[in-house]
Amino acid sequence: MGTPYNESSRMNLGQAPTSIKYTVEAPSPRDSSRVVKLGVRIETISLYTGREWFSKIAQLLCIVRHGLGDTKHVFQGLKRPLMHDSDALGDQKVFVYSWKPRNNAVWVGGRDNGELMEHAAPPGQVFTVLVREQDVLGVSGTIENWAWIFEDPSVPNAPMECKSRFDKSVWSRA
Amino acid sequence: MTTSEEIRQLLQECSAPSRGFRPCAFFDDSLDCIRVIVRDCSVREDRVSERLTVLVDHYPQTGQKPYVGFTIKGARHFLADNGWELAHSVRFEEVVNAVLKSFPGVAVEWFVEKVARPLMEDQQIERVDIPQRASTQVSPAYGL
Repeated sequence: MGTPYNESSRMNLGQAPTSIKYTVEAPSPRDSSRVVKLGVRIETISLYTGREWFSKIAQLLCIVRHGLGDTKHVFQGLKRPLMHDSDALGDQKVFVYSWKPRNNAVWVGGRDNGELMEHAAPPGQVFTVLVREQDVLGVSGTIENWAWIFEDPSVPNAPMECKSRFDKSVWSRA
Repeated sequence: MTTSEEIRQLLQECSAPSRGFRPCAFFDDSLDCIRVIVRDCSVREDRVSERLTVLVDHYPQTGQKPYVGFTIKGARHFLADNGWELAHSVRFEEVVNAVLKSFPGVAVEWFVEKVARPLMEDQQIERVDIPQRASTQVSPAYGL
């Protein structure tokens, strides 16, 4: 079992437009040298808090917000059907950030008595964040999901089968 | 404020009265997928095919099964292909059968028999509701 996680916040809280709950600074999905602001929509938070899948929230606040700056690869296009707001090619507007965080975060227990636990990152896995590029509400994109995935043995810090599962690699850095 | 306190504050702020985590299936409107999760835990997402992903608990306790959920991607196409409409409730068994029919192959057969059906039976998952704009709803997609 891990130890309680205790870090100060670096996320900009409470200053975003109403349907964006948090904003996070991250490298641009199209240009690693440029920093942009990404948003987390209230609906995305509610998707997990409403079902009490709190470990997703723990990972959002502990890994996503502190780690996006460490991104090593960005890929574009999920290569699968994704209808979004009548856009049948919605998968092409989704960018996938990946890197290897040092830690994992889990919420143990319920809402009122639960506790944040820190673990070493699972070996051989990368953390991925799915970002929809959209210039709205003062952000350059919205964070739609985040997950651990096996690492591609031939491409360090990238998800398994990265050369075939995405439309293209946008940028990589050491 | 510690991160733990910050998370707790967020959970208090966003949730209705707590009923505890319950196994659930829900429609992720933004990413156009059906998600099934039966345990509040950290998961690894293992890709079965471009349309299916299995969720594996990073830290299962003794006696717990590692497979804790899955994702059916391209849900709107999948539902339309099988004659279902948004804003309808679908029997979960029908969804699983449709997965087998829509995406034939050894990997999908493994997925259905080793992951989806056991989860459905063990957790007594019966139905999945596909609301028109599911992401705006915060209540579980269906009760157990």
